[in-house]
Amino acid sequence: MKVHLDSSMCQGHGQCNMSAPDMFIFDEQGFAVLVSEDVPSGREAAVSLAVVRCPERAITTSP
Amino acid sequence: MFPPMLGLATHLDRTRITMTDRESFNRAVSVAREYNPYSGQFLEHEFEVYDIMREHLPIARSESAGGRSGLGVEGSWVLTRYDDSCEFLQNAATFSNQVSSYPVRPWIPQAIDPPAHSAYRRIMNPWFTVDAMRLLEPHLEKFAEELVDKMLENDEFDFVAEFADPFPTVIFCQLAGFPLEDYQQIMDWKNTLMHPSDGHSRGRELAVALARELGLDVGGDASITSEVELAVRGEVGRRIYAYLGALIDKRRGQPEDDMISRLLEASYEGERPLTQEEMEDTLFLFYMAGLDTVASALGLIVQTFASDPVKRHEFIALMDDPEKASVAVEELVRYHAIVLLPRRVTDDVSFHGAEFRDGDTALCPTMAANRDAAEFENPHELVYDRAPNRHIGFGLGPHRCIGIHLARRELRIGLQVFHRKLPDYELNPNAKIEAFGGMKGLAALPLKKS
Repeated sequence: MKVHLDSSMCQGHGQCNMSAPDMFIFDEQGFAVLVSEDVPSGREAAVSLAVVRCPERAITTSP
Repeated sequence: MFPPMLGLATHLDRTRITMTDRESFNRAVSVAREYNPYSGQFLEHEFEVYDIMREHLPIARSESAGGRSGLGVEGSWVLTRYDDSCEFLQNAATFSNQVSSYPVRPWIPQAIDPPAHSAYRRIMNPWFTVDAMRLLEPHLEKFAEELVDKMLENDEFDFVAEFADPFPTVIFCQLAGFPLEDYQQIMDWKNTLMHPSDGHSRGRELAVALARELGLDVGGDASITSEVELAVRGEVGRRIYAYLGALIDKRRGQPEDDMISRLLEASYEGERPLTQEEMEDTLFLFYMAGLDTVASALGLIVQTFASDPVKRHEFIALMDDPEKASVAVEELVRYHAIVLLPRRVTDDVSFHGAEFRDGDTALCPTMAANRDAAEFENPHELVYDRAPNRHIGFGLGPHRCIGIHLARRELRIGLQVFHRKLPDYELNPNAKIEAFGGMKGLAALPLKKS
């Protein structure tokens, strides 16, 4: 699974970090930064949660 | 047939009107026409009103809703669908924050559009990050415990006056650098400015007193007309500006660890320091945004818990699990969203069947979007582990609440501490709950131990 973050959409709600703190961290402005596009095995559910929790719909996944 | 007469959009493309629907559609027309969220009574049937409007007139034209933004008799569009609200809030170019409801000068960065808005936010965002707010947790916990212990010395208490109001307000004063000894004055100014005529009795009392002080005719029944309200808001705005200006002057050359000192050190785009006016306009916004919001949410949540012990104990059972508690707080914010977000339309645009004109006012009541069944299954139910839960209780788009990470922590910790110490309580039937509309909330929530 791959995960994509559209930084132009991110407004720093922080829901992705709450869902998968190992995959989404923050820059000094509080906007999300993706740790890696490759989702480690076992982390798919947490990343999918980040997708459905992001109110700005800035996160997508692909196989 | 309806619009020319009533000035309402029918949205024939989205709402199929058949003969059998006619009666309910007519009802929606009159509900939208009379829509007035700026009173305490409105809260008694607000979700019914929003459901009717969403179903039949999802983008309605209301002649009363915009009344407050300009304090004149100006109508407004009202959005009640979740999808429309998201598109609206994310499009800051077409839907501007330059609305005319500010006393003296517009507040920074709320009333500023991108790109200047982004420049201001770049200064302030780092002050409110998750990491910065996480460091406050022990302090929030300790202070919440002090307040709750004191409140629970009595068997009957006012949850708003003794906890929901002072908890976020004192924390705000400490972060911003407002002297705590000014607490009462700070609350009074806020209540005069924000609640002169929305059902908040203290706000109304203060506004009437100030109107009389200004020599304005408030009549025998002490009614607050738009004119009086405008004068009162202008005067209290000037007093607040004088106070903020003095605080800034005092901190100049004597920096402390607070927002006033950081504003004095800040640089706009690395080019220049902020002007005195910019600092005052920013502090004014923080002042107004930091006081009512968490207080209102806490009051409304605990009111729900007081009358629904099952939901309360469901929350208590999960609140010590950090992950579950955070997710539950998001649901409580969805359920008890309090903000109405006004925007000014900057162009003639067709928006999902409604013809907006350049200069129109449009209003997004976040509580309506957050109860849209098209986005949230069983929207009128509290579902603590709801997923997905893309609620817009903290706003959406570039103007998303800057204090989101502080608000979440204040809500979670405030609810945890209170319920650890008092899991069983009920409404006190001997005293009155006092609700106010607009940016809604409670001015009094009398409870008793059970």
